[in-house]
Amino acid sequence: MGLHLIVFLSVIAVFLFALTAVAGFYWKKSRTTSKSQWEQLIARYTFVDRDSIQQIAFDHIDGSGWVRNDEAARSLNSSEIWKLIGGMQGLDVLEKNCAVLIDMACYLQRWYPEAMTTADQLRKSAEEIQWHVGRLKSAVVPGKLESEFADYARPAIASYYLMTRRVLALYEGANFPELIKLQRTI
Amino acid sequence: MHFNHIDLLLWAAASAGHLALLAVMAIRRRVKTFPVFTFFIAVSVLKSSVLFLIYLHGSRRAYFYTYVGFLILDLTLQLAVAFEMATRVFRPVGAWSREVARNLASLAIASFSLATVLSLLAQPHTQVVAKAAIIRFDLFSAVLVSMLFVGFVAVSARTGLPWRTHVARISQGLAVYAVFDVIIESARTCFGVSTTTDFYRVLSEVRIIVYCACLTYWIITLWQEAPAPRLLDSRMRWQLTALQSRVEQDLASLRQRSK
Repeated sequence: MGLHLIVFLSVIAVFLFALTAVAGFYWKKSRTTSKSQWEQLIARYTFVDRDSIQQIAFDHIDGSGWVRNDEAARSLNSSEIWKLIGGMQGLDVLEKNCAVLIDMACYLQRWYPEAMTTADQLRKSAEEIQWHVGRLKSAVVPGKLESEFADYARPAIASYYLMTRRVLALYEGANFPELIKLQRTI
Repeated sequence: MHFNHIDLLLWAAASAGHLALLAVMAIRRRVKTFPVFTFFIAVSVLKSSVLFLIYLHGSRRAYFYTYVGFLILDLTLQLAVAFEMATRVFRPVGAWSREVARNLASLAIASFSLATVLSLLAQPHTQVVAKAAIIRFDLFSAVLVSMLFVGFVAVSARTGLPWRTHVARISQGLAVYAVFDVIIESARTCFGVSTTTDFYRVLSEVRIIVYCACLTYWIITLWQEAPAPRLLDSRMRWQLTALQSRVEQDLASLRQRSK
């Protein structure tokens, strides 16, 4: 058996081993218990100060989710919002958590295939939201907060807050057994 | 060239399997759901019949060109079936998600590159250039298709998109056959097609046996109905719709501000 043949067969053997390993790993992953998948989802969610989020959100919207038009609305300035949200790191966390919230909504499709269509639309919308939040982040120059920051950040944070409420309401509707843990997390 | 009893038996089994699968697709009304897969099976029936007739009554030259033509058509249709399965899994609402599209594009490039490298690395044990080219093309085809289907499993697990029952069964069959095909084509590369004809014949027979097993798997699983999907209750449906409209509203607001 020539050297070239040995090399060729070795490469094919490695290819087949890798292919089988990848297939096995991801097949097992897609079949892991829903409990462990849920735990992973919760673990991806980064803790944020809910009171601060709520304070910024209610500066922009009322309890029903409508934009406030009263005189006291939008009283927080850029510096205060920047401080409450935790600066650039806080925006990073919101961007990541936004994706987790959508994944939580999509998680339902495992039991309810009917939810798949809506879940996929949500996923696509979330990608675009992340892109916009990314633009907002890149527009912020550290140490120099323009007044526009508050105008951009306020509705984005209010949207995030409302998304957490909607996801919670969705899981309440599903009588999800881990609901209390979810309420504590988001 | 002549057929022995085993060749005839395997040819008959594969043809019967194809026809039975086509009947299942028609009776269980799966043709509309999987038109490309149905067409792929129909072309397989045509391929085995035409090649069988040319093998018995035609010239070697006619057989060779027909075989090569069907080889290219077969790969094209396998890729089309892969695309059909991908659209069922990754594009449930008619549009590709950006993340999924990116993952699939990377997968397609990686699969094509690796298949090209492996087929070029092969040095088939034959002096006939055309036969060497066929072995290389077969290996390329098997590596490409096996990588694509295994990649689909990986992408779906990463994005959390579930496989519907029949899509999963068709894909599993094609993936298993493609992986066996990689082994068989590698063996053909080592032992060639002209010097050890018996070994070539055994490899061809093993390939048809594996394919018949896949056909049987498809016949059984496509005959069975997929489990009935659980339906959302009205409250959950409302909540999900409300979340979606909220996200859409936020998105519209962000789009406006970004202008």
